[in-house]
Amino acid sequence: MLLVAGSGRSGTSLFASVVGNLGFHVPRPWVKADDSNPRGFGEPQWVVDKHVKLLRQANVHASDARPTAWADAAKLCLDEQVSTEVRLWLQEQFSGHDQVLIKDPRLLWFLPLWRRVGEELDATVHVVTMLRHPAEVVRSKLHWYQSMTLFDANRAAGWLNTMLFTERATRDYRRAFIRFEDLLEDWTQPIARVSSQLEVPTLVNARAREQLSADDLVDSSLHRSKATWEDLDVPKGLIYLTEQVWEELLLLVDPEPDGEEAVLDRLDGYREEYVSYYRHAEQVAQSTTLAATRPLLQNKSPRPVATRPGAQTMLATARLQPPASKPAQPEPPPNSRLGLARRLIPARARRLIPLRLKRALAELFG
Amino acid sequence: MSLSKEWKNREGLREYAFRWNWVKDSSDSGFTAVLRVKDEARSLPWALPGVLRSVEQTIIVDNGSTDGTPEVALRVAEELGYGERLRVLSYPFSVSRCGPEHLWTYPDSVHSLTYFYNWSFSHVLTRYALKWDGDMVLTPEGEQVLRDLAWQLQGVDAAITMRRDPVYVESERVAYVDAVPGKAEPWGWRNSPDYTFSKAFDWELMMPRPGDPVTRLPEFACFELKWLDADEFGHWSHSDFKVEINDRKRREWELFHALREGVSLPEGVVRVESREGLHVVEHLRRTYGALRQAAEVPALSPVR
Repeated sequence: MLLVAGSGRSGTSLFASVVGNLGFHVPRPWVKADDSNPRGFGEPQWVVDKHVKLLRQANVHASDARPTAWADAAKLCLDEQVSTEVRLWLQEQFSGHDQVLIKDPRLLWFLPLWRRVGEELDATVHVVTMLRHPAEVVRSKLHWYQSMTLFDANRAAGWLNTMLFTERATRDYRRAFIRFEDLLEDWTQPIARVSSQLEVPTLVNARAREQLSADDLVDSSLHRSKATWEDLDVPKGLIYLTEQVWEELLLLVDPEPDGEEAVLDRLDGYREEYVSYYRHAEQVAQSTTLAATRPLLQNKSPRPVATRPGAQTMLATARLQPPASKPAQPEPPPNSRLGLARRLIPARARRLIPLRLKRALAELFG
Repeated sequence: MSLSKEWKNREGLREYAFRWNWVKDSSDSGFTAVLRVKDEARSLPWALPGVLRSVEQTIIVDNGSTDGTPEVALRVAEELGYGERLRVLSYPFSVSRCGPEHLWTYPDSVHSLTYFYNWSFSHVLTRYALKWDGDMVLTPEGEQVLRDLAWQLQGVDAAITMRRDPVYVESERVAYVDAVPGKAEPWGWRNSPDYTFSKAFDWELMMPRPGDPVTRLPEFACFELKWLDADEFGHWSHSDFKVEINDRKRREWELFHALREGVSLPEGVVRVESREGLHVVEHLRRTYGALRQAAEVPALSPVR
């Protein structure tokens, strides 16, 4: 089983479609192609629906920048019912095929789940991560996901968070990293490397017709966003950290990188740095958060606190979706101030309040 | 895949950037055979005349021959009176050999087989292009088939496939025919944007487009010369041919070495001897069609 994990808009669809043409089964029905991916997404609709549901349940966004989001997703990775559903579906896919490819940009949040279920079905689980310069990814997302009014800086942070943790999550797998540009430049070379690295010879032994179909998918005009931070509103410190991580990840493209351990050590360091950076960013913005949540506590609509062209409010930009099912929480006594706050503040608004702030408020009013 | 008419190379060599001459409209301009050759001076006198007689235009692309191949081609054409049908071009770059060497060469490099093929075929001006090798010999029946196809396929966007079974030449009078049928491959196609070469893992690739009618040439149309005293696998960077996709090349390799060592006649191989004074290749050219067509020749029935 081949899992394609990594940031969206990085060539994951192209990779999945190419490999799908070289003998791997990409379960149907697929997500329909659109202008953002004119040659198709290579994504099984069932997987996308399942991940969307799980992310809502976990209150995590697909490119969530919060390091704490991994803990929220982890709970669902360990959920027995979720495992059973995924196992049944995957079993069905393997019933007619030896090689199955699963790709969805949200997959990275659930890697342990897919791995465990795959291994339960006696599948050898491999991971391929596509690499594309983060400035290109941010640009591409800004262009294609305009309805998601996320700030440039948040997009960049989302890339950093997802890529740093995906790299960490896949260290125990047989894995390969592919640069998007390499795939566009000459798809045969990176695919041959993957074939060798993951010991999947069927990829390079595909029939001529399959190879030609794969070749037809690769179009260098797909490379529409360019790698520059100019005009992107991202703080220098975040750019610096992102560039460092990008440079390290590129070293992993080589199947036998020089000093791999040192690379991983440095990535560990950057991950810690990012966690700390994000925590401090939250702390720096605490006044904004308090200002935004104070009216909610007073059952009033909050004033917009930050806008960007086309954006609505800061709160709207968070794009948090209501959870599909409510997580179990101990009910506070109905006559307590906290209980009162629960009744007065709508659930949607309550979810916007950071945990630390909730605790502070609980101490203050509770 | 680029649909632009102008193709550039990554080395930035303007002289070898090229422009396609695609023919979009219906046309009776027929076929242009394109032969990419290197040191084929020995085979061309057998291979070239049939091609010159069968198609409108022939382009020889010489890739650094040291045996006078271009001169031989020009001489053969002049002697036959077809000098005006032949164009000889030079492609001076070393081209990666099939297999791993090809894999690690970018398709837009002048050293890539893919680029070499596309550059060569970009010179075709007729409605159809015909890929041909400098060691492939057309039979008289094959020549007629090709001449007819020029008008038969005028109104459609067809592709042509065929088998080219090897003939191993031991001496002027002795050769061996492999009776085990190989696989039909595409050799002719429309000179249009739909038919450019792509890079595959081991070699360049061209396939008929789904929906295009495919005409398969009969098995008696041609055969391929393999000289047992020559290096016939020099265009491969390895000899570890993949079982999964390269059965034909693997069999050729095995037969070639078995026949060269001369231990015993391999299964499925027929020994052919010509009469004194007649070269065995000419003998086969005259009789190959009949041999293949004649079901009563059990020795040439496929033996697996």
